[in-house]
Amino acid sequence: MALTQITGSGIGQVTNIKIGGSGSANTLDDYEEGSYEPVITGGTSGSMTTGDSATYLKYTKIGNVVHVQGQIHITASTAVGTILVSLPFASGDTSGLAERSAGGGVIFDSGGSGGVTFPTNTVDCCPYVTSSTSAFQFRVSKSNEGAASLSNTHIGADDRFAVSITYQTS
Amino acid sequence: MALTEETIQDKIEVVGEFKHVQVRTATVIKRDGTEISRSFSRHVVAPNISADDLANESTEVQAICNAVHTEAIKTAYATHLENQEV
Repeated sequence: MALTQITGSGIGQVTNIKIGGSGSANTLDDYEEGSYEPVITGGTSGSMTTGDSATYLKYTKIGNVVHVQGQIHITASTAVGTILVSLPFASGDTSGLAERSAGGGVIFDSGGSGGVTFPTNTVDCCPYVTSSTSAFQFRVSKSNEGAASLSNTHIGADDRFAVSITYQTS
Repeated sequence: MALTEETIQDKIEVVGEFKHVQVRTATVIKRDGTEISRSFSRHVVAPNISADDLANESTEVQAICNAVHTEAIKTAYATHLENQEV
């Protein structure tokens, strides 16, 4: 589609750019890029420590869409329960489940003795963002079984993950 | 020529039904008092933050959280998390 209209205010800091129309759905009202150190916690208690200079994720926010990517190394853990990895912005809550998002990722061991233990019958695993939350979890699809989320019994110290997630804010 | 670095929380927002508090931290590099670089990091304070973790937040963030994370919001958020259909 051809770019039909750009308007804004200010010099150097243009806000509320209208593209292709004048409504709120045509407004680009925010852009930001940065990095953050995710806090990894257990849904029941405890947390995970990161290290090896792999402690940050990068983010870019364009309008109400946030993209997060990077690799994290877990060096120690006291987490118990579902593993929750903090997000740079809270996720939105739209009608139905449209705000939900599943990204791409890989979880692997550093080569030590432990290794990642996926639930039985796992066929897929991805980072998963639910509504109105400040953290993502790792959701597992299982063959002929209900889905599950990774917990401290599956990943822990010396494990690593790389993720690429795009989700909506409110 | 003097280079300085300062870290400030330059944006604190309360968003959504459950009053998530979004905190942006800016690292500002200045040369002889003139800003030459600004980079951002982020974190979100949810209503279910523990008292210990909240104590590690800045006094400004603590004050905001204490104001908006009422018992009603905390209860509603806990129910929301429990009822997440995944």
